[in-house]
Amino acid sequence: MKPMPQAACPQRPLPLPDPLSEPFWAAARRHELHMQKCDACGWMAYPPEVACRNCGGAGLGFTPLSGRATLHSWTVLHDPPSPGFRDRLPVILAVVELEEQARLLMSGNLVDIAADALRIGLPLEARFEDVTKDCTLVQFGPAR
Amino acid sequence: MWDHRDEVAVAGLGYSRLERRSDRSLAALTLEACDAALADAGLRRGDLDGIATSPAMPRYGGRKGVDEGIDVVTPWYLAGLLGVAPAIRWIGSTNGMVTQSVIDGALAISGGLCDHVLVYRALHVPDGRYVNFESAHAVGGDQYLAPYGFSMPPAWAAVALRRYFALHGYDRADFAPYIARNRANAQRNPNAYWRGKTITMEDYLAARMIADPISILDCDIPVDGCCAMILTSTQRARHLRRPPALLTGFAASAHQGAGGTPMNLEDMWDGAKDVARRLWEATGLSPADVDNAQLYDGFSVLVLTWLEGMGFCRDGEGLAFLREGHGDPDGRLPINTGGGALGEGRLHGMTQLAEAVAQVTDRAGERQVPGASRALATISNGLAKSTAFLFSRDG
Ligand SMILES: [Zn+2]
Repeated sequence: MKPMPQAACPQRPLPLPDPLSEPFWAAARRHELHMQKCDACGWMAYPPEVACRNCGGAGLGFTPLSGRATLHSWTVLHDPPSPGFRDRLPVILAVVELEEQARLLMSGNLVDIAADALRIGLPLEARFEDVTKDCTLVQFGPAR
Repeated sequence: MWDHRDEVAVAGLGYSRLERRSDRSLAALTLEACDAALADAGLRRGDLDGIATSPAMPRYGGRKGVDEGIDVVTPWYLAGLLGVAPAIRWIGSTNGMVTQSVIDGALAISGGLCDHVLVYRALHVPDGRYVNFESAHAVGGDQYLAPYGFSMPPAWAAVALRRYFALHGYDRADFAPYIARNRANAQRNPNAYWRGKTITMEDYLAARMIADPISILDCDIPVDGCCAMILTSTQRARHLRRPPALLTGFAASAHQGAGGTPMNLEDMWDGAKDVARRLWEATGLSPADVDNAQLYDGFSVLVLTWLEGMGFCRDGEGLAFLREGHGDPDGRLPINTGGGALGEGRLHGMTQLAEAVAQVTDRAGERQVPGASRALATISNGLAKSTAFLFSRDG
């Protein structure tokens, strides 16, 4: 089969980093998972915010995480949520809970696992998908 | 308790026809609903001196219009269309849901700013898919969701329902009896989009999946249309055409919960419990006082988190409660007696408010809960701009 012309198979929407999110995406490009951590209270936040939602503190740096997580919940899409997903069906959307903090949740896709093998609490680890030279997405797969 | 408990009332209700895609403009549909609400109250346009809504069109990635009269109807524009602009003394326009406008309008009346407030919600179905992420770039909060395909609310609700099922040992078959009987409730609601179309449990189990386990029958249908209500003081309302529905109290919450996913089940419970605690404080009442509950159901799963969060069931027991028929019209706590938004169409909470008002004023027709004296309405998902209202029968 000939490759699809580019116009018929558009790219997934790609993140447009901003000053708040750039450290997160820069770490992802290095295949590391970093998250904001409050200097004052130690609360970790995702997505990054301008102030700590736990204490209101404004001193927020980024800290590396292990990437280890458990499956909090998931859904499976059989219709493309936007045109760039037409050749990626079914899409497994997962919400994972990172091991460093209760309810530190993150959304992503699951890779290297079938939908019928999923269960809540399944051990996972971050996987890094280089989409373009400027963009790496954080995904999750079974813990190795 | 709220100092102005039972001093503000809903005196009139009105609907436009609710259609999937109407030939008429949103402005025309809005006028139809507002005139119906005024006629229901026995008032004229010239009696209005306050007007409020949340005019925004929801946006989920796609390009949606903001054209006045087509996509949105702002209160300033509507006041002109009604020919009452010179008389309008108080205007409320909120980024919250329209239910925030009901709170604002009640406070405007109890504060003496105006006498008759029109609260309305007009919603338009844009061309194309309602939820579509067309942009090549995801900015702001979307950058953490849309690159993974997590840009649509049914998928957000799906992870919450999946987790509810998994934690408490249910599956979609447990939800089927409620979903089918809720549609039966809509058959007794003259405003319902789905009137004339019943569904069976088998239909529910075979329904097209949007985001497993959320099917098309777990989502309210977007419609072109408007619902309007008239707020006034209880004293004035007693001289109008209909018996007043007394606003005994209300509650709101700014609970946001964990980031990373828009609807986390545990945070939906927590937010609903915040709302519940404040509502029971404001009203001096408790769940045992409620005769019927109109629980927001833009997605089916929200009925569960409200039922439990408001204190009618323990966490995880709401679905068994519904499955066993305790939420049926003749059950222990009739729920969404007009079919909710799943049966009526997407009006962002006006469905629940209007049905609660109808139930405590004996105008729910063949779906009337006999003698209902206190009706609860809850709106949203426990997180985003959630509110609750307790309406009481007069006297
Ligand atoms: Zn902090």
